[in-house]
Amino acid sequence: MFDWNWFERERKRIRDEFLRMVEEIEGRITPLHEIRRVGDEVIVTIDLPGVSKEDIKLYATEDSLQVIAKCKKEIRFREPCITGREATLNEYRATISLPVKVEPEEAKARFKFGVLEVRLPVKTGGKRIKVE
Amino acid sequence: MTNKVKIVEIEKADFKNPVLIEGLPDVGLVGTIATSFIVDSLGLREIAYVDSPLIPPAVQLKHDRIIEPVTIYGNEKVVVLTSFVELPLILLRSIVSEVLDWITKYKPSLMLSIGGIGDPRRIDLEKIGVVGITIDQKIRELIKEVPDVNILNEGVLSGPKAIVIREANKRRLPFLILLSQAFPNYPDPGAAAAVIDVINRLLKLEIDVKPLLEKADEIKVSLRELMKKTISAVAPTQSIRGAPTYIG
Repeated sequence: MFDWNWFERERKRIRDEFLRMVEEIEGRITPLHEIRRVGDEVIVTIDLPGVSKEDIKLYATEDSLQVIAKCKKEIRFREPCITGREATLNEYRATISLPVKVEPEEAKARFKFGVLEVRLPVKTGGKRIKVE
Repeated sequence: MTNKVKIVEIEKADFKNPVLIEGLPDVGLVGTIATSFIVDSLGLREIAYVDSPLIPPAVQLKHDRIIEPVTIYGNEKVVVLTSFVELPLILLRSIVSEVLDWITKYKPSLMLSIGGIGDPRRIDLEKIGVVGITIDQKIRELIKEVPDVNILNEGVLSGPKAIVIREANKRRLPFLILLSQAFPNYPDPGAAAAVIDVINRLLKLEIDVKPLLEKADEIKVSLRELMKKTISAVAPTQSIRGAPTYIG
């Protein structure tokens, strides 16, 4: 029997790879990032080498985080696909889905050693039910 | 597909009790970054490469030469094993085993394995700690003279370096594992520089890490694909349990 799940995964992988290639040709790359849940916080770290703090734009909603960071320092990297030519990095851009709903207004961010760390408190909601 | 690996010698080796430095891709690509920099800094020659059908299909073109993904470089005193492709744990074991069998005939004085240990507090660290693991009393005494290295006396190590220890111990090779605190999922040239600093003092080398730190941003951008693939390939990343006070 044909494995449609495999087909769907492969289709998505090829599409993502193609989009990544197009972005890299334009000098725009998706940064490496990591999401951890520690206690009542979601901690997202994003690797942004070559960026200054002032050039980071960060937006949060209840369930996602968007980062756009201009890279003013000239960083040349080998574009791995199609031609293998060198490209110059212009911008990092990523929209990251969060695993749980958070309170975006209470988020805190810092930038050190080229790594952006964003701490977002987990949204505690719902109506309290009295136990009788 | 067989995971049999073989060493293909490019030139006749002329080692005299060399130190073998292994830095295959792992946490923060510390070993990969450090060994590549050591190879360039010491001007080491390609001595051999590792061949296996399971090594990801990639070659590096360097002017008029082709560099294999898993290569052994060296001079008469230092031999370096490095890779620019991700290696799954099952293949890593076969590679380490084959390389140790090969180097044993040259009677190595030390097997030095370098890498990273993921630390979620890395962003707070102005000074990066290095942990040393060995069971050899002489090496233990030697490393005591190198400040800033914490010797691990007890604990459970898991991940790629556990394979290295098991294979070295089987052959009764004197080994030392050096792991620096690293960003777990990002290439970490700073952590690689911390390990090289220790190697400098241990082996009386004078490798200047300043160019490595100056090129840190370029290195991080260039290695992000290898980092992603290494995370997938080496799922249980390097960790030490039962000894949290030895680091930091």
